[in-house]
Amino acid sequence: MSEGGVAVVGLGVICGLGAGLDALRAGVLAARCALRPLDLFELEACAPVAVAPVAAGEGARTHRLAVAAALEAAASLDLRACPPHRRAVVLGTTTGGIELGEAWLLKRAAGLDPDPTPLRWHPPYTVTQAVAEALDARGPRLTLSTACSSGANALLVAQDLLHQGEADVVFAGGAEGLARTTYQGFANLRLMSSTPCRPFDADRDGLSLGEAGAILALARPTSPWAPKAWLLGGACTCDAHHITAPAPDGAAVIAALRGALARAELAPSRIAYINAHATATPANDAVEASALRAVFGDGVAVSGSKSALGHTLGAAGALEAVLCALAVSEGLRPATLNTRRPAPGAPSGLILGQPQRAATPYALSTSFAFGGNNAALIFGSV
Amino acid sequence: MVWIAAFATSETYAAPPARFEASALRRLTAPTALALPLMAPITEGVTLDETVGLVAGLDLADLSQTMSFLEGYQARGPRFASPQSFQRSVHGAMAGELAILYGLRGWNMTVTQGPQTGAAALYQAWLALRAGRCRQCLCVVAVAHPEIACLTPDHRAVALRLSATPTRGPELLGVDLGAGEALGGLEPLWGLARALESRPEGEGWPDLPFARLG
Repeated sequence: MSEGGVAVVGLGVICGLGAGLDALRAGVLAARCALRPLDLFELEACAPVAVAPVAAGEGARTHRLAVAAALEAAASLDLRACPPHRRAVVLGTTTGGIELGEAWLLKRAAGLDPDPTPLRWHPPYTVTQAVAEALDARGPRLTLSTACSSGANALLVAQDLLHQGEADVVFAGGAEGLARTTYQGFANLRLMSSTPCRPFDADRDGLSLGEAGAILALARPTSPWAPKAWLLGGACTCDAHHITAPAPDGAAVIAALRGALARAELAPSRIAYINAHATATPANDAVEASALRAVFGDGVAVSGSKSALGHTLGAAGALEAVLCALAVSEGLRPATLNTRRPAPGAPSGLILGQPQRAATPYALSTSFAFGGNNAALIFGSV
Repeated sequence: MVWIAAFATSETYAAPPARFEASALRRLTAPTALALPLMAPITEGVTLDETVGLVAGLDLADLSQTMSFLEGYQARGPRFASPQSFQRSVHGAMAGELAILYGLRGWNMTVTQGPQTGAAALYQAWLALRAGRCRQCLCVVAVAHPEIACLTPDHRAVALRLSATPTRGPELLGVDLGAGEALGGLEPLWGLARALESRPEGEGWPDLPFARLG
């Protein structure tokens, strides 16, 4: 283990494959695709989405996804060992309770004078607040919103909080509920596929959206809780190129990958499995495949799990971190679904059709975002 | 250890630096337009390489872009909602735009913490430096509230440069998020910058409730 590793002591997840880690594991093992026709709200566009079983409750979908995942992550921990002021929460989300805000703004745009009360749930920080209240966490609370890398960056910042002694346990991850604004926004940017997305396929034509909450309980190696995996290190960089398009040279992506390896004190050859960002947009996958090859060469096992779970935006980095934790702790590597004909230049180790079972000492996850934000995380087995 | 190296404040949409072409500036989000004139004073003499991080703080991003997207959605139909407004409505837009304009390829984070946003951004920048994520960190916090129910119109920005090496400025020993929240939103950083600005020559560093200076 690198000097800077922190322990993953709890995992919680809710996504299109179901509520809980067991549902995620079963879905991955069965190579089940959660993408299905949109029925959450009525819109003209008809791209498939992965909808999570969100329970009724306070706040917006994002709040309920986050709290459900956080409670599962904390379920196996006796938090009496950690006073509330030493429990921190770091969450990534892009939209917060936007479904409530958009309902209000749409009524206003129609010339009505709607009740503004539900707007209190609109800001993203209220998601972090809901999780902190559910866990009685009174230490630092941070909400990160770096678009689709938010969940991964939350884990990086959580690691820093632990290293700097700012908390004893950090509940970190991401949450994102589907909403009209995000669905129609991606549709109007012409980034969505009308069929379940096909990462790294020669005929890929865009992403599929999903929703999820994914929280990891992280603690210092000396914590009283048994580690399930190690978060060894990670890095964040910026393309400084374009707000929505990746830099064609992939230089900042490569810098993030190398930065994560340096932080984890690992050579590239030690990475056995990569959960790629793999949105299935033509530009993103091409740059990512090229960057992965530049750093890791050919042959490393790669998954594009958004083909099963959809792109869960602010939750994606955390959801895929949970998959990496499963890979290093149980040797379970998800399949890339829907991809029939890998594109020239696609990762040669792409796991197609069915999941792999293989010992995985080290796994890496990548996340990229609007604004050119790139994050990479490395997990190790116990 | 972390030191405050430079700071600047703005409460107007001042003219951006002349070095940029008008085409690069035309479509910036409101928070970026507010913050842009502050970049020159806090980056003067600094080589902006990958060791320089950027932490952006926004409470509501550019709400006018969200409103524009939904107004188009309502008036002309979902398919006609502006994709440009959508991409500019995300919180990470300011950090992305500033990174593009200044070639910032290092640590890049956006914090949004409601009434704690100012203090939380400063805390994240302090943490990033302590954790060795960068050697210098630009902490840029902007509030661009349009006139809309529940919001008081407010257009202000504060920028600081923090450094992992000693400067003539004070050492930032720690940030108290709770005290920052009590002050609200941008106020902690606004107060910090103003207190440093107005400090008489030769006197000690100001005593602030949310930031411990030494």
